[in-house]
Amino acid sequence: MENEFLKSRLNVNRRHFLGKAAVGLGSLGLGSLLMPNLFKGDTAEAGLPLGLPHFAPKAKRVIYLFQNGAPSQLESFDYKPMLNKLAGQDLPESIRNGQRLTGMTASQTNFPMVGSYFKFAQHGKSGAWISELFPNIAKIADDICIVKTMNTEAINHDPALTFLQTGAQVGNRPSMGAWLSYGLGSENQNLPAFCVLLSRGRGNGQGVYSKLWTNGFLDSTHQGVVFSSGEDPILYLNNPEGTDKTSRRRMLDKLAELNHLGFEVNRDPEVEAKIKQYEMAYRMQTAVPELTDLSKEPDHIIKMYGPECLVPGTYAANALLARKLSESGVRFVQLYHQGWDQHGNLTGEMPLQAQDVDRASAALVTDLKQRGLLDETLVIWGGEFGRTNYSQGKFGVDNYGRDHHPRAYSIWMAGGGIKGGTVYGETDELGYNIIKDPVHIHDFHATVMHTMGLNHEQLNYKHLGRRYRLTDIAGKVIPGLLA
Amino acid sequence: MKRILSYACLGLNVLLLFVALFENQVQIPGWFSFIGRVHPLVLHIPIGLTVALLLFNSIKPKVDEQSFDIILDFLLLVLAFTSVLSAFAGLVLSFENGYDAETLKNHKYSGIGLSLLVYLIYEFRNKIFSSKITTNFTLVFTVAAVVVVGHLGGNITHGEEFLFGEKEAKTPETTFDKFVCPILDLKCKSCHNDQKTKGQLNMSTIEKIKKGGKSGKLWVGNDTLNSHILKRAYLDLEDKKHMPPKGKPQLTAQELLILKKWIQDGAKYDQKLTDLKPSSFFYSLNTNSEVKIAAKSYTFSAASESTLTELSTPFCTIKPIANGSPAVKVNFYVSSKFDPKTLSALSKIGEQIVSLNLSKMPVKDESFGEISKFQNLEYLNLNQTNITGKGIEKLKSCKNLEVLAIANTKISFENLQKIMDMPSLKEVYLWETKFIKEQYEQLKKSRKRIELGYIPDESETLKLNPPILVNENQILEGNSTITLKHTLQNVDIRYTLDGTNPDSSKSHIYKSPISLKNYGSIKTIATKNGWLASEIKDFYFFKSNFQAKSMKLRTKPNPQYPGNSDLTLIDRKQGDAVNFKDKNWLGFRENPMEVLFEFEKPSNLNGLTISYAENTGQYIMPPVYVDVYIKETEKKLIYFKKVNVAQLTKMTLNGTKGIDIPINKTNIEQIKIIVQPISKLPSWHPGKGDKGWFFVDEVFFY
Repeated sequence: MENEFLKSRLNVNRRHFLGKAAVGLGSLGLGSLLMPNLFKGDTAEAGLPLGLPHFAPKAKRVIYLFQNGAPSQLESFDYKPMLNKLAGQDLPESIRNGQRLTGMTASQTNFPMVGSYFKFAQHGKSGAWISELFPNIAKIADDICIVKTMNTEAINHDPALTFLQTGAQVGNRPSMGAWLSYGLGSENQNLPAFCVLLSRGRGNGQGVYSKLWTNGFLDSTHQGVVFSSGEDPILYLNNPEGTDKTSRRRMLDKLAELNHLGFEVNRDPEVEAKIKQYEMAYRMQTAVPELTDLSKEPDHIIKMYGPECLVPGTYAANALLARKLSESGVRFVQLYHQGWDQHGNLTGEMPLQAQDVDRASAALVTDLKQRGLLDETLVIWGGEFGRTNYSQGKFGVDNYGRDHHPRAYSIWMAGGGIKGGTVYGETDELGYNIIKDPVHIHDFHATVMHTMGLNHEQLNYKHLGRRYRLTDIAGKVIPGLLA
Repeated sequence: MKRILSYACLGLNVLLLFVALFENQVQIPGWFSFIGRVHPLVLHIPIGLTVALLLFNSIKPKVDEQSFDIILDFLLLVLAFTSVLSAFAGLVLSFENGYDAETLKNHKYSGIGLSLLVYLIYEFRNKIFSSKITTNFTLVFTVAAVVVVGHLGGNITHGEEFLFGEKEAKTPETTFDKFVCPILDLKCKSCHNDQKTKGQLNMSTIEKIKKGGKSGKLWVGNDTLNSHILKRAYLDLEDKKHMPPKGKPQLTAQELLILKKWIQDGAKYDQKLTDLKPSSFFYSLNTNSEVKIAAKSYTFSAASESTLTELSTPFCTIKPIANGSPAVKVNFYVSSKFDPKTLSALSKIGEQIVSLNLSKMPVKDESFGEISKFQNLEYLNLNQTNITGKGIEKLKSCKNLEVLAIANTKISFENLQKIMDMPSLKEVYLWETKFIKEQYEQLKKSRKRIELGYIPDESETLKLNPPILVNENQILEGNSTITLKHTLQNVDIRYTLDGTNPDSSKSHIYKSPISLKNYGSIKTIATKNGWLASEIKDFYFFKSNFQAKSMKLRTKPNPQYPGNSDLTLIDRKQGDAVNFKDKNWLGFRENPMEVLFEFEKPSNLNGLTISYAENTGQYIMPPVYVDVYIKETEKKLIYFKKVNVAQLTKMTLNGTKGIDIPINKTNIEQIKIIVQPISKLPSWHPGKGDKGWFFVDEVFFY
């Protein structure tokens, strides 16, 4: 009896179960027809293989000509004749609209607008307005895309720089170059994938710190390697006196053996990173002298970049070295040129700064182009934010300064899948607010990654319990910048 | 209950008819509009009940007659009541503005009709439901009526295209349709349409827009200043004539820009998107829409991963072009490690290679044979190799070769000509190939992109870079000298020591290292034939013959810039001229600096030099004056002299300068100096009136 009850209950249950399950699953199946990606699984979760682009890229390498200190967009690429007309008048509050000020102008009682002291003219097929401070960049107007609507959140140098380089204002995240090295690996195993070159102008400067080229939580092989600005770009690369190549090799082999033993015990991934770095340093001993050798370059390369390109540590020398590094497969070459922080004496300092970079920046683009490399190299030129349309401190048409301005500023990009000969975005007639096509720092990162064949949402790294990306939780690719 | 409901039905239906007939005279009190708003909620009940009725009727044989009648009665009554309620609420709602008149009319009258119909069915239920034919007919008719009325209502809220719209939605072809019209739709049409035509302006069709309104035409092509729409939009928000009126969604900056640009371009309604010039505003607006990933697909299969690994060396990188792609790119690096065998081994993946970079490798013409085996090659880089082009015609077997970079090689014109007719070839990079002009002209005729690159402009005269200081720092200890150099060959370095500007013809030419007696500057210039003279470069040199034993600060520096130790001023380390945060700097602002130096043994001093920073942008200025006190052996510390410091008259570039104070005394044991920072910045300075800073890194004795 009990058995029969049990049986019948089971029968009923089974019938019910199967019947309902059929209907339920059927409905699910039907529903899933509307959601094609439902059962595909999360690609980001599964993780795409590292070391290869997610899709065929336009750009294979990046050269970032960072103009540190924030060059004024109003004296370079964002022509605002209205400011000359309204010079001396107070910036209307409706335009400023509650914008946070830096400590340097917060106590200023009025904000006298001031127009560019330098003349502008139109260049190239796009008719881009470029100031007379950049005559050589004006000549390559057809190769570059001027973005007039970059905008950021930070109003001071350090957070703004850190934001632009790492995607966050606090300094513990990997830098752009480190992310690309992590995502794409190196092209040339004899050189670091991420190199940093520093130079200094004559204008008011702001420091750069190693946190800007940090690997953050990524493996330390992705850290940016700073080249020295002295005669010897990479220090301690030569074997010490009395050590020949064979004994160096034998020493490294033994050292690697010991490191492997250490790794077996403590499993610290940094030990493996060290082994790789020693090996690379060994190979760099052959690769670097070839790099720095200018003897195979034609003579007029000096005329092209300007005579300063022979003086180690100058921007021009770094630009030339950047081309050589990039040509040799370095994934990300980061230049910093300091001295663009013109709070005062803008009319005196900016021409000197422009003189430092104008010829060499244009030469770099032309040089890549003539070698057939521009199409696969993305060149970026720009600072961490813009400068205000009003004068900081005393106002004079020929002597003024500009404070930090995060809402809109100009940069340019060339090559690597970027639509050359164009001007993207527009600011209002006073050059204060964006009225068309903003490009936020996160969008800029997403777009750069896109040109490199990476989906910014899919390149991530799990750290302290969550996944991080260069664009963190924001950013969209800007199609208008892409060729 | 039943009675109350049925009476309510009758009453409401009568009211409904009455209001509908005299709707022109009806004025709805404000609070009453609430009733109208429940229409969208109530209307769903009769729809559901009608369907319920139909279904209920279908199970009639299974229900006993009595129960059936009771339930049928009940259902019909509720149906009639909710129908009339819904119709009445709908009628009230219709008095609110903003609905398309034609669609509204259809729905209104059919809805009222339906309500009456249902009520009549309820009243005559006994007759109708006595026969099967009338029952079925009535039910089907009612359902059909409900569907029609409901659909008409739906058209009002969701638009007529909601149900079958997808097929009809057309893609906009003109700038007006794509960019201008949506703005008018969103921000203007709610008050300027067929139903509601404020200011006699109707924007429902292009013809009506062209007509304009009470105040005239909306816009005048090419004339933004006299275009009415812009004038109104730019008025102050508080102005009564501002459009859209205060409280309504306003035009955004981007929308205003679009209107303005469109009017600027002539207000052309028929400007086709496809005819836009690439430089125009609307062209970029139109193309900035989607992210495209143009992935080339390849028909060949991928090489195995193990093959790729096996062929790779540290000097030859072989990688798929992207994740999942069978196509492979190959790059060679480090010319001294180039192994021709690696190149020949690549034939294993000859089918897969689409990109090959051999630039700077010692590759010769023989390699064309191997390269030509890579039939799918698209990109070939042979820059700065040893090729001359012999055998280059073999490349013709690479049917997809698009880019050929042979810059900085000895390729001959004749050889290059052999492949210029390749149909796939699009770009050829020929910089530094030493062809003559006519040959380039001939190559350009091939209608391929020929890149010649930088050709130096002989007429352009460049400025030299200034001379370079070889000394590691600007301190001259003992007899050390100043060494200068220049990076270009055959450059003359000229200099002066007296503070005057050097001249490119008369000043001393630098031949051997220079020595200085005391603190001083050397002004240099570089000159060379065919070049412009360099800028003048000043170097300041600090002479240092003695080192003090100790320094005692009697006043405290600003806590932000305390220096790096008790010896900051006598450690012979100078601060970074650009970075005032460098720890070699001491910063004073509120207090003057008072510091006492002691020497190990009585010394004979010619003078001392205070090294300070000039960074006008950061308010770091020369001090105003220096007071010097001296203690000679067996004497007291006594006042020696005051030195006024030359003040600046304009903003200057950042740098380190010195204040030189001659002393010429013997047996000095102690020296005290008091340095007064500038208390009020001069009137030419952006921070005029504010306190200035004095930054000092070192005091030298000689």
